[in-house]
Amino acid sequence: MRLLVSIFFMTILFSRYAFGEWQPLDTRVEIVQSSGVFDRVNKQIVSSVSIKNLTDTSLNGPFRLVISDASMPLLNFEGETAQGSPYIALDTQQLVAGQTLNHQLAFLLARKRLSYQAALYQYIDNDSWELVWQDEFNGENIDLTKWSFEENCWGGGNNEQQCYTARDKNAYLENGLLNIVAHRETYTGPAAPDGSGTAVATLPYTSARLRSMHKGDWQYGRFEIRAKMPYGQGTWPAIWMLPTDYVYGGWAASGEIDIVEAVNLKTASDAPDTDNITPENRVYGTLHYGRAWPENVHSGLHYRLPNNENPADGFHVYALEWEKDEIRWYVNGVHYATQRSEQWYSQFQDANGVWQTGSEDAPYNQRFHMLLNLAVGGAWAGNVNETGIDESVFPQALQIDYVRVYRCSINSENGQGCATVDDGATLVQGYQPPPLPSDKPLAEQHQLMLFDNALNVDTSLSTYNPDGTISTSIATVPERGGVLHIDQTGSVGNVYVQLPNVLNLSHWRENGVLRFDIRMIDSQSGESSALVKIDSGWPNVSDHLLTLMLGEEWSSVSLPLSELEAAGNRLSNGHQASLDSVVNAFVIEPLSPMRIQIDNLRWEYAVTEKDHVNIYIDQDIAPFDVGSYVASGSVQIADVHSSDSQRGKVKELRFNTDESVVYFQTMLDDTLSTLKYDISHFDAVQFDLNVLEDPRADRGYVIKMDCGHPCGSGDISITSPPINTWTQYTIPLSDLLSNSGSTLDLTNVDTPLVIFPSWGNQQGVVMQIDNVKLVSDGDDTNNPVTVVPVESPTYIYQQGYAAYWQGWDCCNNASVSDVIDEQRGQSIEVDFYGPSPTVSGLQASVPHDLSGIMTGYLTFSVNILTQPHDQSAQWRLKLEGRDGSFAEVLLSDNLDGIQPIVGQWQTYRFSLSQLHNAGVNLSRLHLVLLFPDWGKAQGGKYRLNDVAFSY
Amino acid sequence: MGHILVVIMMVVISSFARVEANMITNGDFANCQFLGWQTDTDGNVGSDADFSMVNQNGNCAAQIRADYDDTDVFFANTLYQSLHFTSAPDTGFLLRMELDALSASTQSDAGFIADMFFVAINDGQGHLMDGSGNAGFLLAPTEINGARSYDIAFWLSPLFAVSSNWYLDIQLLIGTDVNGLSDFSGSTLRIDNVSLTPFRQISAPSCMGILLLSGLVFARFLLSKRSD
Repeated sequence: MRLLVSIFFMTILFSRYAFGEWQPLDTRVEIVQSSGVFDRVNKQIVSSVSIKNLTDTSLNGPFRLVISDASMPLLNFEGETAQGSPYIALDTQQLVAGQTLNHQLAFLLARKRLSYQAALYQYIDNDSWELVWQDEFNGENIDLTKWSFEENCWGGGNNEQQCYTARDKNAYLENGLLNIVAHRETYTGPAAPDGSGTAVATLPYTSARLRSMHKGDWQYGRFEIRAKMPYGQGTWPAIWMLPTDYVYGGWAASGEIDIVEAVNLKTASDAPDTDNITPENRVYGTLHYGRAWPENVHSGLHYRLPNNENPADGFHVYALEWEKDEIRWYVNGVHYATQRSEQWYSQFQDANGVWQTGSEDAPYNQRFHMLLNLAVGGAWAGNVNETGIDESVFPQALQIDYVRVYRCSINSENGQGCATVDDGATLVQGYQPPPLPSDKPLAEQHQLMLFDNALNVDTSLSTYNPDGTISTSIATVPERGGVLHIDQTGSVGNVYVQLPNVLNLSHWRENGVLRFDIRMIDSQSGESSALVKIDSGWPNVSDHLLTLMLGEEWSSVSLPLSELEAAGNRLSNGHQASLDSVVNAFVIEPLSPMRIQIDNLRWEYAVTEKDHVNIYIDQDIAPFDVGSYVASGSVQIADVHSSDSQRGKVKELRFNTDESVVYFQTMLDDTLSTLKYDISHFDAVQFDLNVLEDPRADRGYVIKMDCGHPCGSGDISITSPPINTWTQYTIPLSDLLSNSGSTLDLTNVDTPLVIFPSWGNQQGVVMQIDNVKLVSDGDDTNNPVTVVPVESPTYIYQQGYAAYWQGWDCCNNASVSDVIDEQRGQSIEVDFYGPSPTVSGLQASVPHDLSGIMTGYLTFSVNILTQPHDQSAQWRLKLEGRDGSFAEVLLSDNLDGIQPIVGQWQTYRFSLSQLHNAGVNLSRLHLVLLFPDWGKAQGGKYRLNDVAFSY
Repeated sequence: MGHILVVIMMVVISSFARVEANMITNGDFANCQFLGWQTDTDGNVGSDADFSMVNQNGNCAAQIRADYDDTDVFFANTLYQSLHFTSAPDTGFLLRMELDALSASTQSDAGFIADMFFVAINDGQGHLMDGSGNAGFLLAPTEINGARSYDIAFWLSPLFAVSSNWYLDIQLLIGTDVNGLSDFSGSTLRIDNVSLTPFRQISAPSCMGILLLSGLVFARFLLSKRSD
């Protein structure tokens, strides 16, 4: 009871702390400081401060004694002001007139004269916040009129390893506290985020996630939570808010407000500013916003409690004040961070598909609800500090004493007027809205579309028509819509598309092409010619002679811009256009009378028609650009002059973090998707690496290639280069394809190179990269295989695996091995030993195309050695394509009606067309699986052989 | 103001009467030994060079030295003794001592940086207190500038008898500048006739009762200029 009273008192105290501001008492008190003396017990310097109320009235607390300009660090402080001055919270709540109060200060031992400034601050209450919603968690059961449980094994979108349940074991009230407890226990539950559907998933931890949606939803206000955090590697407690209505679209276009989060408290800190001794002790306040994933961004700040106190060692009050245009974060009344609407944004596509930037303080101008949860592992917690999950620390609990929500009584409409502001709080640098796709300047667009149904509105169509023989119009053509129609009755003159102003389009030089569709529908002869040009202002023109054939058929023209530029002006020798200053992006000059039509006239980037593609040489080469993903800390990326004068500029990366990757990626198209290219005709990705500084004992470096998450090669370690020595790396694409776990699709690559020092240990690395390119040896016969055509018969296992095939288990609960069977010789043996659900069988590292034998069969021989423990389990066959398509049927549904019998080799046959009709894309097949019912496999064991596709 | 303070304190002192014997062990250093006392130099046991006895015609006194060529101290020398307060209920204590402070140089000397000394009750945890048990000192850090003698009395609150593990600390500190340098000119603090005796309040003016209740300082400083 006494404890409860004490907690209640502390609650009130902390609550008051959060509602006003600290003001200096200045001349109302006299502060006398003693000289510093030696503390023989603690070996420190101590000084006594005497504070006297000089007024004739009482002064009411709480009081803080703030110490500044100290010649030695103060030791016994209890907090820091937003300006970073340490303070001591005085126990005294009132100083009567004339009263004197004494306090002893302790300073770090140093032999020098002690000096410091001491000032007394008084807390001035601000009663303008009105309590409108609260849960003190004092009942016996969680109040379901205020909270709902989310129940799923979804993983939170971050590959988290917990199932959220509504069991008392994972969330309960005790002694006035809400306990959200994560346990190490394998659990199977709904796989969908909303818990719907029949799909299930199994994860190794359980926990709870409560939300107030439709029971507590607020726009603006103060949100105050007193909580004690869990600790240990893999713990990820979060008290946060999500939009209730998602007005601006999917996460995170409609925003997310993280009131407080922490990961892996008390583990070895990996913070760049850590002393390497103090365990992890950061809490975070963050906003997520921008466009819908993956084009979202986030900004925020971390905070540490004074004296390196760990948030897992006690209760602290975490608060957030949200008003129109501003959001502020507090811990124990210390205002440590502010974000403003100038530094956040929301961009989304409206009902007509038109991109919009949300007005005013969007997305934080809609109602949000609160979430309380404890996640385990996942993309953040599992990849930082000591990495992974330390199961020995579980169970772990997020304890919450109360949640209180306040409305600003001064202006509840916009929440303004009640702010508790410390001017010293950090104003977080967020993000400005990027140009909308439609707003992008012509020169920066991923494609310079000049004519598609209509002329680009930013350009103009004109003619050079000295004889009055040329006319232009827009004609409508079935299945094409509007096309540019040109009628030349003479032989002098041209038609040109003029840019709005002279543009520097030099970034198109390396990989740009001029493309269009054209047909000649009338001419004096069956074959005529026209000049295609780009124009920097006469006579600086370059041209290409185009031969046209009379007919209704359209032909496509593709002219590399660099070649066109270099071709020069055949009508004025010695002159040529320059992509540095383009006036007319397209000129066509019929050389004889003709009627022609042109469509899909554009400049675009193409990497598929070259024997090599430069990605970075002296500069980023469009359509590639450099980017980074940084979990915490920063990476400085800059083009710098190499100390090797022969190299010119190189890309320099400075890692002030332990968790980041740097990548070379294509630009975004109008749908905000990265450009994807078929690079399967190349042989390798090549780059030069020079590590200037690397203080790590283990100097690991990793590269990979991506084709849009989760499609990618997976991490590949490269040999560490000598320090300060340029080293060229040539990574065969075949190595990327065959890397363990690789799902790389070379026909759809957007990120040809990701490079980083080993994840989790990057601090202090400085490295330079140059000459990043895709290269080919010119021999197409040895290109990486991207798909394997299947002919009849093709065995993928016959006393051994065929090329590209290997054994596979999805979820580490079955062993897949080769054994010698007495009857069939070398066979695959699959043993479902584990309790967790899994599926197993064969996986191809490169998709197989069975479209040539669709009338054929899949045949295989199986000996089921043991049935699963759950006798109700049925054996299933599943074929899955690289594109995610699949067909799943019962083994007993084979063409010959064979029923599985334990202990006998049996041969099964399935129609490929039947499987195709069941959903699998057989032109991209990469998994052939045989397994008992999901979640019922344990105990089952079979041997497999003679797996074939044939007629 | 200082004059008034002395008058009040004299009234307070006059309202107490000595009722029991000295609770300080070897307060007069009669046998020229530190028996009952402990010495501390920078947090360690004090050295002989820093703590010594002076014997003037058979009258022994303790002597603390600092900032001499032959002293070991870097920060401070502390002479201290564990106190065991015993008294009747509501009975306070009177602590008296004689101190002689002497510096080899004075403020008239170039580069002079005064050494300091203080007297305080220590709770054994490093918290220094005044006579009422508030943070502070019985005698605040006092600069030594030439020679000066102190005959001091402090009234100590009855509250000290409620708990144990108290210490009387008498400390001599080396004065330093902002860079940590001293003037390398020594100072000496002699201590003698330290006594701690219970005092029971016999009567007090009503205003003094208010002062008592409000927990203000009741130390009495009988400062007298005394020639060596």
